Amino acid sequence: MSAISGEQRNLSLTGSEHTGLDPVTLTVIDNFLTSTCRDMGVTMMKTSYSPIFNESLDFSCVIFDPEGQMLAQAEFCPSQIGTIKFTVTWTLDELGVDAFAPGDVVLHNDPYRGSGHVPEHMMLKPVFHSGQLFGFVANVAHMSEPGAKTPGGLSGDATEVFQEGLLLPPVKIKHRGEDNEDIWKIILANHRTPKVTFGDFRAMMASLDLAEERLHELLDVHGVTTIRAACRELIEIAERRMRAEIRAIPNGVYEFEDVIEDDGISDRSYPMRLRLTVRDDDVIADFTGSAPQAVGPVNAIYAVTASAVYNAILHLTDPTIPRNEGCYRPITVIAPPGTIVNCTFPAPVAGGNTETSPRITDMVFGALQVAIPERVVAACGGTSSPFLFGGVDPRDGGLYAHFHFEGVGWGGRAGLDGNDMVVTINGNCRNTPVEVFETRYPAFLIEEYRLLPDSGGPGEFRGGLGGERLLTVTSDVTVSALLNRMKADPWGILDGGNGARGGIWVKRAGEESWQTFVEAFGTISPSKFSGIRLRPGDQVRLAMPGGGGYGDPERRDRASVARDIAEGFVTSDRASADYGYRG
Amino acid sequence: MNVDDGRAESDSGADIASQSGAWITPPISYVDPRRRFCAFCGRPIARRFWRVSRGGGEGIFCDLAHARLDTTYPRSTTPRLDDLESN
Repeated sequence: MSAISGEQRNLSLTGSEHTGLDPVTLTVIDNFLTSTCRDMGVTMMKTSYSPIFNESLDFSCVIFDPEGQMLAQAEFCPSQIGTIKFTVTWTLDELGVDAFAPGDVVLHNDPYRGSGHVPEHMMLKPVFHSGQLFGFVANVAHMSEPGAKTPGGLSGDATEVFQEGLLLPPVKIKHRGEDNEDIWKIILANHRTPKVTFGDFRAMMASLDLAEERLHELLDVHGVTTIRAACRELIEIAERRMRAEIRAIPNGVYEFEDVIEDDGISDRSYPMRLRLTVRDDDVIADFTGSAPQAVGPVNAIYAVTASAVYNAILHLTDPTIPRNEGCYRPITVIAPPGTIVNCTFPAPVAGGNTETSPRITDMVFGALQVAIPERVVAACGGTSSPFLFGGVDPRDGGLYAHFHFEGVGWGGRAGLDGNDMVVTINGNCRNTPVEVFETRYPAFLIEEYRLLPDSGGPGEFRGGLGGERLLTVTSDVTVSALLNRMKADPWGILDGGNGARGGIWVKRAGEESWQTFVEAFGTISPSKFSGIRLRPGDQVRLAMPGGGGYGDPERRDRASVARDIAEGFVTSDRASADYGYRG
Repeated sequence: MNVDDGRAESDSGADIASQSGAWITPPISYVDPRRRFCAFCGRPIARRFWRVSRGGGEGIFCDLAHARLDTTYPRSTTPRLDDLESN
């Protein structure tokens, strides 16, 4: 997939004239920074309270220099890694770098200051060494309860950001190592599950402390001056290598359109337009012509749109390029204010980060299918599948709330079928395991959890399968949802077929038939709603979309079709109809 | 708390008549949630921006590179999708 040969890769590591460090030492420093980010993540996973941290892994850990340039990241949530660049630089601009003292921790979740959406809280800690500010360690994590209008946040019918949770501009939750108790009190008084928030925030702080210690170890060995110079050089290497990758894409203007099917408030769809210009070693992704911002919560802020474009370009290029500021420099994103890809205050934004983001990433792939067909992928199921619930736990009388991810089928790509039921491309997250679902929360029994045959789009390389989950309500619970690809197909590419749409239905206790939430509760959207009260015996059926197919199905290897039938991925009827299979 | 009443920016010392522009760093306002946006890319500007005067008007940019790109990038002529009723 790489556009750079092995020989060129070696050449790219010879530019050590700035530091005098040999390529091996530079690589060791880069790996040290990256592994520090990984260790931060392990700390958060091991010490947090909520399943969205320790099971779904909806967090990211990153290191920055004093100017807010990213020095290192690891394999976390792509949408967060892209947006945290904006969250951190906004914080440094707003507070000023001189405002930081050793032991400070700044907390921030305001989407109109660069946060992906309200549940995602960023913590930032300065690292001083020998009296100098070396940089910042930061993490961002999705809190399962941000104090929104309904449990779990992400209200599918919110009309203002104020309904999506407590907004925090950059504030010091720790000052010189001491808790700012007034900040803590405000936050804990506004979240439904303060104990969980407390534990998760402490996990984030422990992660920052660990990273600070690790950086001191590195700086003790090499000194601030050398490591700063090494970081500058690593950024230059990353930029040089990313530009070489882009230069290998044919120059041209590539266009694509897709749509957000509704916003939870009306049945209107919201088209998005992308005009992607590749010129030598630069990429400009221009979303001019996209729909005005929505009334409901499907709007992306600028940082989310940019992050989604970065995500696509990083997927299309050499994964061994150091993941730092240099990767992003060749990429420019134009998103007109007041549109669904760059909404303005106080529009709701929850689904921009979970729904519109993967759509934008897919659009970049769609636009480039002609230019680099060997690298792109068909549309994925395109929804993070937020299914949220909460209420009073009858076991102890306490409040609980949860954000549940569901997987989707991913698109087929050259040489490989799409992944089955993996959380969508912007997340790199995991679902809530059935065992955790049933033991941690009192609300549901999971009756079924399975792949859906025929949900993957037909193609030479088949789209991944979507899946289905059947839940029976076991105690009174309030549910919300913010799902997509329920009306608009996950598209195939290069003559591949579309994947199956998803859906969500309810069967009330004592009734025989399944209904949409529109039919049962009068919601405007069948898949975006909030605050629906279910009672014991009710059932919910969640069907998740499949991925689009890649290439003409007639060209699919016959043995692969036979295997799909044998494994139950494709039915005989569809094998005949879609693939012309007569096995 | 530093409250921007809208007058402080005029005291920034910037040469708004200069073609070459100037960096402006206005005070932070916690009572006005409105944002400035880069005239090229649309990015909301946290605080500091580059301001240039052009053809009787002015433009603000999130960085110098975008001020330069604004003069060379062929803007899309695609109309904004205001008429959603046609969907």
